[in-house]
Amino acid sequence: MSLSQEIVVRTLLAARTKISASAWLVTRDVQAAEDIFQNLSVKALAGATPFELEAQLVSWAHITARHEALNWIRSRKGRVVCLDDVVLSLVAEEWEETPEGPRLKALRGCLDGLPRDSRQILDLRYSEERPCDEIAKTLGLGLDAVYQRLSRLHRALKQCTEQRLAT
Amino acid sequence: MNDALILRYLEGTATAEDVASLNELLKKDADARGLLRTAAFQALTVADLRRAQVPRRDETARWNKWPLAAAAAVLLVVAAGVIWLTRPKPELLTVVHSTGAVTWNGSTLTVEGANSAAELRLIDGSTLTLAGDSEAAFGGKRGTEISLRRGSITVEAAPQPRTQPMVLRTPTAEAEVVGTCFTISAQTGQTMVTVGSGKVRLRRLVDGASADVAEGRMAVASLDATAPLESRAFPPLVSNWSQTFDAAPPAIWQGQWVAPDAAGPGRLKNVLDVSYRRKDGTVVPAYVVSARDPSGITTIRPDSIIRVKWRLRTPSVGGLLLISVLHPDGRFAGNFQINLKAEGEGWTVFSAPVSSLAGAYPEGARLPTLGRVTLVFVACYSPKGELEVAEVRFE
Repeated sequence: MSLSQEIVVRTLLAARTKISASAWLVTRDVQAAEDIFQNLSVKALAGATPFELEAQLVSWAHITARHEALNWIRSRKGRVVCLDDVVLSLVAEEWEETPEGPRLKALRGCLDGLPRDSRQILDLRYSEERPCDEIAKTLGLGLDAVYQRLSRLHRALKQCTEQRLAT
Repeated sequence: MNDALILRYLEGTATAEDVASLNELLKKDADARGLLRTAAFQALTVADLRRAQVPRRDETARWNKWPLAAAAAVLLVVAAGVIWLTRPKPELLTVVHSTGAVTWNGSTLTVEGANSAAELRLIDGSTLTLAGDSEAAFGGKRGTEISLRRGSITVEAAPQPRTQPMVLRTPTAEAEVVGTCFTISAQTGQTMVTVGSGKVRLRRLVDGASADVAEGRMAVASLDATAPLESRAFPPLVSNWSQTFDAAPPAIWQGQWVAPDAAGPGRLKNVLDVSYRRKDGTVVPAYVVSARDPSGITTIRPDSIIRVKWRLRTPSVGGLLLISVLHPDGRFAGNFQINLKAEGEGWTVFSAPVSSLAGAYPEGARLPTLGRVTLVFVACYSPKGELEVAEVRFE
């Protein structure tokens, strides 16, 4: 028996950030990744591919997100400079299977606790999608320092998220 | 070194050689793949949070464009989309967007008219949307002691301090916010809470009975203390839904019912409603037929078809069709509208995918993949119109 529409929606929403990430790792454009997630959700709901298991649906969603993202990047930029599909498949397969809600909540809590300048650098890079050299100029830092700070922030946020999830 | 390579790739500044090196690294190194996943998850979350907090550049003007005069006439004038309200504390509340007749008297926000709406942000980051005829007063140090006198309010609450959580009071009940996203609506003699995510504790004022309402559930508190106060699952919503008027419709429909007669099938004639207010406080009316159900009238997808059978006595005045939509988790998705053109004085059938309705509030809003329709609104803005609606259908 194939999954009902309600379960399809719930399953996709429970993995929304991860599926969008599969698209974003190709497009590196937040809006495009969101559009791709929306489009594949519509496809899933249209029922052209019936799914019997949630895991099947999620796996299909990651693959479709990557393909749609490649099409997007080809139509926009022509030349595709992105990671191999083998690598992207590996990255997608290793997402934990649990719903992402608790992780998102923990991450949001960690983001709220960040010092202002740390949050600023994340916002500049990922909300405003500014390149690192521009961020370096804005903040009066060297380019390497921006990369270092971003790297430390990602690792610190990961640690903080894991700690919150464990308690 | 590897981290910088990953970050350059995510930035789009890695060269083809860099990407080749990164491919090799990621094939072998599970930690590097973990960092890539972590960075992607965090990046999208940061972007999501910002978009939830700040109106996008293309969403600064959130007024209905029709009628255009509305934009100039509402009491709260939006400059760049944001107004800081000045009392009780200057920074407590922000009206992020509003449309239609919205007034603020220093502590109370009033939204008049079925298609009027306002989105507020509290100092703690919580977002509240008042839609339709609603009135709420804000008190407390953080503006989180809220009295909903009438209408409905959708709340996306930021995490609340345990000792002083957000509390919403209606004439019949009190809801303490334990979790995040829910809608509360105050109707005559009863209060309904629907919870999209998180948890709300609802207390019935008549006897103090309380119930926890969890995600995906709803509860109704009335003045009847003998009725059980308990949460239940949302009633399943159908995606095919229609309403004709051979019999009188539910009381929640706005319009004067006319039984079938020689002039046509059973129908609803327009009633007067508030469209917006001029600066001097006088009301500009709309002539309206509408239905509202805070828990949802039907579910839609972008390719769902909306069909409305309607007519105008004076076709040249034209009409407006608007639907209000929630996300599946209860967050407000937006109002979507389209101008209607009558084909002569007889009945006209408008039929189109809901995706053809434009995001009017917030401007540029996009229909969710699956949405819950809470309002269907058909209006004209001239008394000569004498609008009548004989059927509304979603399929």
